[in-house]
Amino acid sequence: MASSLWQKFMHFIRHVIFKKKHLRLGLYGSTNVGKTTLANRLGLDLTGEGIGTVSPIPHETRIVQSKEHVELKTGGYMLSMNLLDMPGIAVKIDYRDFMEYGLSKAEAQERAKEATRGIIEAVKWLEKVDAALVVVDSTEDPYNQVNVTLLGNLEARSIPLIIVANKIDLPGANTRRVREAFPDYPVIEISAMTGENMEKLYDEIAIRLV
Amino acid sequence: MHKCLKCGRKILDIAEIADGCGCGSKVFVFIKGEDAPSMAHGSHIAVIDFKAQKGGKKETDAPNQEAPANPEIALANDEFAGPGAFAAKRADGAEAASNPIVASDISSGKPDATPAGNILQEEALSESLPHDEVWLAKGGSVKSISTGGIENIRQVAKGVFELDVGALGAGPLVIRDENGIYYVRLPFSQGTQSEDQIQ
Repeated sequence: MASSLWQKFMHFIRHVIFKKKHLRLGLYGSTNVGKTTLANRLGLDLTGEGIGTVSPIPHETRIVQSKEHVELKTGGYMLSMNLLDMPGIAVKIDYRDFMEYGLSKAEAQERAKEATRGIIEAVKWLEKVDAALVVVDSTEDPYNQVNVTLLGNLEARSIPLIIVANKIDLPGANTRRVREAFPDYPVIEISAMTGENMEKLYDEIAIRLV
Repeated sequence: MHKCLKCGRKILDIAEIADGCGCGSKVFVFIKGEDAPSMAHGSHIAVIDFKAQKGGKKETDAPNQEAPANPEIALANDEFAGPGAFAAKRADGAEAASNPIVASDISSGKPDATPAGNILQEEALSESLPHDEVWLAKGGSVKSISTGGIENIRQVAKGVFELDVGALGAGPLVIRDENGIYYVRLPFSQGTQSEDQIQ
């Protein structure tokens, strides 16, 4: 009996002091910005295994991919997450774009259909996520319809978010442009491919999204 | 329908009765049985402009009131068009497949994302539409259908749409045009939409 009381006491201490929380963290963004690469990086760093496949062909991720019970321990915080890698958001899906990568017409049309279905699913998940990482490609202009719409939707739902300026390892990366485009949001610059600056992202997640 | 007692002009718009006839009379008689559609301003209608099968003759005159109540309409199938509920055959027995129905282009360019509504309901033309369009006759065998796909609106041919009315209110608006290209309207993607939603 004494040991069970002690266990309960330690559980209370861990829960209150170390503030272990659980949340659904969604990775949102346009296509080919590095969401799945980031999800794989998070998975590898925190659990030892990745989530999904990466491809230069847009809309490689066409269904919401989930990795559950991903634990992040940083500073005084312990965070348990369900990591949700969302399909890339786009407003126009043209199967002919896929054919340029060598897909047949039938394959391209099927891919377009799946991609559209994935976008619908990602939009519906906006109602369910507890926090979000909005991934942008820092080599491109971040001020586009998709990013603006995503931020608007997340803010309207009071969902805490961090803008992740990815691909800082590439020439032409301009993170200042990202900060200037979205001055009201926290921006963390990383390279999901190389792992550069990931520690700062983890700290920011623990501070802002809990 | 009402008729001015002084000049005999037929009044289709109920709102006109409140203002009186142009001749100055404010006395109207109700004519029972002549239930031509109201020309109320601001209403919307699904109008289909027929092209005759032979010679590409375009029928632009409004149908005769004595015309058959159930003219049957042919709809060409393309590789993307599902069975749909629009299919029927012409009253004269002509083959359906080679006689596509082309609706009037209200706006050029991308497919009209505004739902055309259930075209079983005959509502008046808006003033912006040309008045020589052919009316979809009463009792046409068309109805709201489930597109069966992920899209809410499917463009079957130029100006002809299939609507999944039940799914329109759920999730983002997804339109598939006749070339198989998908357009997704994200929530809050347009400023006016935000204002509408706030109201």
